Amino acid sequence: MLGFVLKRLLQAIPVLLITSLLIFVGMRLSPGDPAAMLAGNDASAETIAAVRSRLGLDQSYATQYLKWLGALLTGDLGRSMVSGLPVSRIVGERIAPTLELATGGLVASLLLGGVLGTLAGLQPNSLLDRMVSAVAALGLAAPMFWTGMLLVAVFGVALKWLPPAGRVPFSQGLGAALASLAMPVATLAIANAPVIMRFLRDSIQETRRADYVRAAHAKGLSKTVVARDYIVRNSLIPTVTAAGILLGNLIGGAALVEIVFSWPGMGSLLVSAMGNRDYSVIQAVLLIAVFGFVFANLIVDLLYGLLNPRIRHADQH
Amino acid sequence: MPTSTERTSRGRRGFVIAVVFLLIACGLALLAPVLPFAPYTKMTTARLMPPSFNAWFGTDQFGRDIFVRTLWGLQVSLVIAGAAVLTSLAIGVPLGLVAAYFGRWSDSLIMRGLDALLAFPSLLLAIGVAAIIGPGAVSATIALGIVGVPQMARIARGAALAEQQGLYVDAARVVGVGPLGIMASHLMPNILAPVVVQATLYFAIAILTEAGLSFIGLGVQVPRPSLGAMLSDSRAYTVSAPWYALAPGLTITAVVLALNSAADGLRARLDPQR
Repeated sequence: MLGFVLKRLLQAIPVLLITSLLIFVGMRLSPGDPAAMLAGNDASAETIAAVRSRLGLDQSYATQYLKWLGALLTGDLGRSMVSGLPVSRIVGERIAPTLELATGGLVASLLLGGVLGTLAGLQPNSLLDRMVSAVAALGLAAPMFWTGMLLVAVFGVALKWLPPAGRVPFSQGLGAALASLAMPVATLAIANAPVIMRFLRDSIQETRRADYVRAAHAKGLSKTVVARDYIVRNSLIPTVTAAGILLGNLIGGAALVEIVFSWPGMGSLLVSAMGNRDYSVIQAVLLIAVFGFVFANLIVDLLYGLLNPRIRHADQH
Repeated sequence: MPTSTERTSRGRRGFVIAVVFLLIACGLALLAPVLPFAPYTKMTTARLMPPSFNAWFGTDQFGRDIFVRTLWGLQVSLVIAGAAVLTSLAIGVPLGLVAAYFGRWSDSLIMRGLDALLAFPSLLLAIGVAAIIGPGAVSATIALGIVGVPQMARIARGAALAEQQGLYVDAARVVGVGPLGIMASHLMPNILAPVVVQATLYFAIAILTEAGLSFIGLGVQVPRPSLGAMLSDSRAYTVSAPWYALAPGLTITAVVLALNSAADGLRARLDPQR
């Protein structure tokens, strides 16, 4: 198992290096001169040059990239090109809200998708199965930010049950924090639970036809026992791969959901940094998102290996 | 419990409904310039009016007809998403074919490179690319085109790997057909089925992602209407004009739903084993 973990960790390194290079080059190719923006509208050429050299933007790309990478390893994300504040501080304030949102979205999607997928899978072509499938198809088709807007219009504005926008930190009371989290999390879950639901449903329907399930029935085991111990348990394994897809959707989707709910996370930070051409902040947010995504996929991979020894062993050959 | 024939006919009916709906929606959207509707920029004093006979889905904050703007917005979505699908096909399929045919280091190089792209959550990748090139229809197309490449290449590679085992490929090689000829005239036609299904699915994803991009202002720019920007505008009028968001949101949902059903139907037709 340790070898499997180490191998997966080593495989992640080149991906992280290439993505960091892509992000760096991409940001340097962007239109607009951050030095000119920072220096102001009526700045002279000398002032702009001074700002450029202060930011290190007059050095070669290779030097800039290596410096940036070296600083990254020490946790230094540079300074915002707009406010001059350390990027690690700006980003640091935004990580917790986004993690809250993404974790809530993940848990809600797994629960909702898990329950509906199991019910639909165990009763193929029943009314319930068809209803669940139809709802899942709708959830996958509706743009996430629109679903969020509809929830705001109904529960925030018309019924006034929940705050229409903004985040209440957990330090200011559990109830208020959960109330502010409810709609953004529901929005993520409506769009993402269908992914889990479909995987699980198909997986269960396939497992139902397996020989060992027929053998279990033939032995005279009760339907409940067969469903619980034979079908659902074995169907959960392939569903873990769906969690990988889910994580990408959640990280990207969180950006839009944060805008809809004025949630002070990384997504809204990215969009505002984009407006200011704040390269160092954009770079940092993209990098953290990619690292988070790669890391999360690594965990999914490891979990998969842990649940399914066949994968772990096949990998060693 | 429905019989399998009933199920098939229900699936076929869904497929036909989806395709007919897509044809009508695309027809209306693409023909919007020649249809006898008011121009999408026409402003009136009837601001934020609820749906009525004159404006089927109401009017926006400048008194413009939301139905007309939705049609034009859908046109933009379809053109951008369609061009993005073609871009991802044009780059992804040859990459997948080359990776599968030559194998070894070219396979590793191509697939590891694409893995790096897959390491970006797709919306963030699109946002990043759109940020680099600057907002607009062209950059949204390029961004979505690039986002679609890795998956397209994987599908093409997987199908080509399986097809390469076929005797006809050996036969072609024996009679002296070169790598390019084998890839273009022998492998290509035989991997079309999964590629077409993936292209249809990606069309739906591209429409959703384009809506997301224009929602945060990185899509097509004013005065051209886009569905995402209309939804973004409508947020200021949730209380005074709650119907504002309905037409653009429903349009995206319906088109994406129809594309997904069409992809399912195509898969069932083109690949009966699955």
